[in-house]
Amino acid sequence: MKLKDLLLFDLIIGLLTSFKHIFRKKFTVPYPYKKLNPAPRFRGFFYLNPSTCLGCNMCWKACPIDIIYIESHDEQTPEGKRKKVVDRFDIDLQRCMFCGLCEASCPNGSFKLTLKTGFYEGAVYDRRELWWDRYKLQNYVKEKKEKKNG
Amino acid sequence: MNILFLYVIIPAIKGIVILSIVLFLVAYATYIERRVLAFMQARLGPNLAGPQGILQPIADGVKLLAKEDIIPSSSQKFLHFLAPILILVPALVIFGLVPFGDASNLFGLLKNPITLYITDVNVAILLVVGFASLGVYGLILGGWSSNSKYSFIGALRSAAQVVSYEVPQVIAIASVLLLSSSLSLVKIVEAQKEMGLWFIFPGFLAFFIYLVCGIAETNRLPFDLPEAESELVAGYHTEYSGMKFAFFFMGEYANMIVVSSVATVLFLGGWLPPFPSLKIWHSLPQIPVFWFFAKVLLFLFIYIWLRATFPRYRFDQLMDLAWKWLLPLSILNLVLVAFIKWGIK
Amino acid sequence: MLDVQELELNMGPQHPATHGVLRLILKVDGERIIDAKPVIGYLHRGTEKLFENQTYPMNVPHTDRLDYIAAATNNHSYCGAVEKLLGVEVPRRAKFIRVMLDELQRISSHLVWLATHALDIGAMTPFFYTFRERELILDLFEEYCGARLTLNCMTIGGVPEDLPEGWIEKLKEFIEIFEEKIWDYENLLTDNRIWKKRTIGVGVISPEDAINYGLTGPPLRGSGIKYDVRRAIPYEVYPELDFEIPIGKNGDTYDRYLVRMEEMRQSVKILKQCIEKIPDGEIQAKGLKFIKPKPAEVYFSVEAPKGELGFHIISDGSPKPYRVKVRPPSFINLQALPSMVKGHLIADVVAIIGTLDIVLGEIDR
Repeated sequence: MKLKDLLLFDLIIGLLTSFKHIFRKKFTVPYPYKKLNPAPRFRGFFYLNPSTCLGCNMCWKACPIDIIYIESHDEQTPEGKRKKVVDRFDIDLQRCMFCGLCEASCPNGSFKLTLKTGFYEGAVYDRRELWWDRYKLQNYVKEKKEKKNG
Repeated sequence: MNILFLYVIIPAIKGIVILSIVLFLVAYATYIERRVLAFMQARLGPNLAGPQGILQPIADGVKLLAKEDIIPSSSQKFLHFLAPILILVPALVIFGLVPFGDASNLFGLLKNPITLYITDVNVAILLVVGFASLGVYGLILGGWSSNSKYSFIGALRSAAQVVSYEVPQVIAIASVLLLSSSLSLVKIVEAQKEMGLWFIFPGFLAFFIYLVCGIAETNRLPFDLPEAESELVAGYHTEYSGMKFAFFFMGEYANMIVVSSVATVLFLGGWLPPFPSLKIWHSLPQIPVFWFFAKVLLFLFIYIWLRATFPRYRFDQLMDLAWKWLLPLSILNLVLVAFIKWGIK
Repeated sequence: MLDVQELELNMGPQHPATHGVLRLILKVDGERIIDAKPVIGYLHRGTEKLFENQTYPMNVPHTDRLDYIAAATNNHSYCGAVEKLLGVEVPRRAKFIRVMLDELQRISSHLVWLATHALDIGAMTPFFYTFRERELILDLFEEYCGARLTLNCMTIGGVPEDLPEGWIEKLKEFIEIFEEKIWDYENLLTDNRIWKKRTIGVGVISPEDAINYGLTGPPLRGSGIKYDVRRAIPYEVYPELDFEIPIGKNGDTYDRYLVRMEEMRQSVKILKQCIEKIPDGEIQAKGLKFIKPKPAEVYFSVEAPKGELGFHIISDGSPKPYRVKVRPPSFINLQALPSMVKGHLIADVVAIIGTLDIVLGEIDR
């Protein structure tokens, strides 16, 4: 039996460790009074401007859960070229797992379907509000952010 | 008329005051525990109910009163009802014996000084130990009347633990009694005043043994296997809900405060300041019971500190500790103190 | 005359300490355990069948959900298997990024293990201290790929995005903080006599039994056998990195605890070397727009925090795999539970489940 064991050194070191934490800075954030901002690459809710969508159906093919529903028809532009116009662009947010494969496959450049809105507080009382049509894809995140700030 | 006044009305008033202070302290012990435990774990505790969370125990009490009281249909109703009472009430009764302070004038409000304890029984220690042992009945009945395998195992373990840790505890107390040569709690404090030293200094080993046994008696970490959350869900109070559950918890905290109070009276000098024969204490304002409550709060802090730091002992290691280590150590301590006392004479 | 009856105790699927929905049927004599039978399947989601219905790139987010605490190694194993099937070489910078993510994930998973194991044995505070460090790691992951738990941080042929600016500086800060804070956990637990009493001699498994059962990861290394997939079948840039493999002596719970603590330190060493050696370059191999491998069969494994995680893929020439079989380390480690638990008390069962470090998402798939 060493002297250190007899004098309970191991227990005392443990006690001192937990004692000194009383005076250190606390790590919790009192949500919802204070919120942390997500990173720029955070995969939040969707944003898309459907009038700039090319209608190529790449996001539909890339989605692992098949929750994107697109319908489009062809139209003639004033220059005589053929252009696809999107009639219906629905995303079923109830089943989305926010994996980002649709965003990775969109070829549209700066107009692409994006998840990087930094918005994550989307809990609703009615499940039907989670079926997003064209209007919501464009405006939901913007409206919620304005309501919060204004 | 004088007899009625002296022997009935004044003790009744004292009893009501002490009981309300103790119940207040039991309720706020939960708040202190949650706050201090949280601070040690790098987080804030409850801080939303009232400023800094002061009204949290009241919110908890209201919630528990409004909860439905679920009684398992295959249990014995009378025993189910009796068990929480048997845990809380003996702990509260002990406070009738513990001395909070000496004769004082209450800042000049009264003409004659009154003593700040209800009564001075001359076998007080014996009564304290006896009432504390009554708490075992509550544990066993709680586990038995719930009619569930897990609760029963928890109650048996708890009863075995409490009974085996009482033996070294009483022997450690006996060594203090050797130094004070009286069983009355008030006279023990006065003996410390005469000696000019708290009894912790000559009897440090006895203090250590008493503290460890006290923690085991109240089923706190590191000895809390009977109510271990990770194995038996909650042990003997799994099947209780509502106010009965609150009673079990209040019983646990009341037992903690009892152990702390008895430890302060026996080892830390009750209401005496440190090194009571020094003259500087007379120049400071004499607030009755200040030192007593400061020491009780210190013990509560030690309880919470131990809970935050250590893992728990397994049951057979627990019993090992009591019978193979603490019992011989306490007997050795008794013999040593006897020699010291003989040497002083 | 007086018969000693065995009690059959059910540590049911809902229990605070079984790390998920694991059900154990214990045959108990007083407090000693005679036999234990694990019953699994409460979290079965049909993952392997789901893999057959989707193309190779669409499967990557689903592999996150197998071992949900260490998602990066799952992605790595699957992508590595498909790359081996296609015969594609990953660019060097992508290899270094993959190794860094793996080692960060190893530290994060071991922190969760320490938190829950200590909590089961009764020590509450290491939980809060370890999760404080884990928050910093999850913040690093969020800055890199956008999610904290189900990462989807690797693609077939490399990594999807390059490291953002300032990530390596944040990683260096994290390493500094972590090397100091790991002493907090050691002070509270390693020399503590109560901890030692609870873990020394509990759940012993001999080296021969460990090899016969097919254990991998810290349960195998705790018994003294020096087998680590990073050294035995090297992949990515591990041959160039310098690290040690900690092993234990007795095969009990305390040795496995020491092995995992040392593994965390070795991961920090690997991270430091990666930060120095990482080159510039491409992050994604070319020509993988449409994945259609030839009919072949391949097996590829990585050293996940819990053991050897392997994917066995059989392809038949179409864009969707014919069969994907996962070798989950927790499933195979759980087989050793009945033999480890015999003769111990009920209070030890919880400690032994904690030391095997099982995740039901992997076991049930």
